[in-house]
Amino acid sequence: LTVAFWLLGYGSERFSIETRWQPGPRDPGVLRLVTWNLGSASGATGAALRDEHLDRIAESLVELGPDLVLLQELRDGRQFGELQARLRRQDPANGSWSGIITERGGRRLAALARQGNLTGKGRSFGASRPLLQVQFDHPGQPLVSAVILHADAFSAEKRNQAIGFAVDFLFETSPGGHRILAGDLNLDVDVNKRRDLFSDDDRLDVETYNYVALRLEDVGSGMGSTARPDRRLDYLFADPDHFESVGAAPWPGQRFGDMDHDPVVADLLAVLPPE
Amino acid sequence: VITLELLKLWRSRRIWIAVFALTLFLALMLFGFYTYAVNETRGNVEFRYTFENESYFNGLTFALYSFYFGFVLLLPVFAATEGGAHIAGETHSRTVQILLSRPFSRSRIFLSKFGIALAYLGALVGGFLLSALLVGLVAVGWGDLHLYPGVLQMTDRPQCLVREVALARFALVWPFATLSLTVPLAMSFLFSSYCRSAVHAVGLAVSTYLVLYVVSEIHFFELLRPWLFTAHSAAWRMLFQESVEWGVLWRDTCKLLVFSCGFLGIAVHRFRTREET
Repeated sequence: LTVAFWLLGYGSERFSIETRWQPGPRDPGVLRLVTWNLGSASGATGAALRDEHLDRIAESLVELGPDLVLLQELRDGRQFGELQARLRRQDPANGSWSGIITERGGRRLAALARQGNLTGKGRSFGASRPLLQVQFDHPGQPLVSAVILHADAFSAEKRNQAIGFAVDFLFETSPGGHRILAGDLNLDVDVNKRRDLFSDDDRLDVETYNYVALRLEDVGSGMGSTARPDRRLDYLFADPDHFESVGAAPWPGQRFGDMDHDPVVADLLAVLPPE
Repeated sequence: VITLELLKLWRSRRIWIAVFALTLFLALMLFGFYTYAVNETRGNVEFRYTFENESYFNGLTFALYSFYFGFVLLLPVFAATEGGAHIAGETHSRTVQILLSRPFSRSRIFLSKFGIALAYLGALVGGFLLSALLVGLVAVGWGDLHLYPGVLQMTDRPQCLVREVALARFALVWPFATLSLTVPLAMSFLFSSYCRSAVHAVGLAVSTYLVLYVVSEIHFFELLRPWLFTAHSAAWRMLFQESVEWGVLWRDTCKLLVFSCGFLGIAVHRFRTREET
């Protein structure tokens, strides 16, 4: 009996086929979004993107071919400009790679659009890190409103304030819109493991996550970790009334050097809201 | 043998100790649940952005919270006690020799004891589940069962089970949870077959369970966790998803049965071959 149950329990797991979604060719009309924290794990509190990683990041983004890129942890505007220049050089036929970056701080938020028109600006509130609000106008697609944020890594209370504010702000400023909330939320509510080893208030993180999840769909849910060590910190939330998820998941194998986050990719189909 | 074992169980104090402990646990859970719900829903919240509300705190939520914590922290202790009482305790008091002098095989005696212990645990699980639901109904009031990611690690997306569906899932939890408890029970019978003192057998079984439980909860041990039975013990939580992943649930149940059958096989072998002094 022990051997029989072993084969049924552990054996079936060993021979099961991995079916996790991976970004590949997509139908016309499907929007591809990616959120990526480009920073590294070096130092006491990590560091912003290193210049030596710019070429590899540009290669990854060109290979992925996203419509909208939502980035965290860029060092400054000059570095962002260099990333744009590399993208245009590597992808001259397809992309204008227009972009926006927040104005202050050493770890900035940014957005890039391969094609189409991108507008927006950074928003500050309280003592927390700023948000980046963007409007993405892509030919043949409805206007997409996105808020990018990078929540505090050490304080659950600050995360609660920043993420809660971002959700409210997104809904107030885009009442009829195709809404996206993305970024490194620095919280993990995994089903299978303890989370309090990385949080000063596990319960508050649960509150925060559900504040978002009750309003927007976590399209990469159940697709595994996005950051070292085996943590799911990077999220892409989409308005379930306006988007249908074709597929979403972390895209592993894109970390370089001491980078500690995978990009999270989502293919979304913009739909009209139900009557 | 079964009648005799039933009689011994009925006359022992273990049943009443378990009933007392579970009743005390439910009473304290009720007090804690009520004060928490009042604080969280009547304006005394510590933070602004929250999903909790008055409709979330109902009798089904109370029953689920109570059963979950009782299952991982209390019921395995009672399971671990059973093995110590049945084998090591009787070895120490030498009553096992009286049993062995009767015309029954050692395997039959051992498995009869295990069967009685399992039936007792099944009754304890069912009684606890039913009590939690009744207390929830009477003291808190029923509604639909809302589940949120992160809460008791039940689901990875916000879900709602209507009352009838939730009650059906609670009924299914009974056999699955009992099946999960066969592992600490078999482990306690295994230790008990080697020990000649009930105190040592119970202490060893309880401490081993706690060590494995704590280790399986620690995030860093990603490679170790699948091989610990405690990582799969609460597989019944999947029953509270809107769409139950039966394949995963059966797979985890099979993993638990690997440990149950393995522990029990070694224990039976030891009991059959050991010398009584």
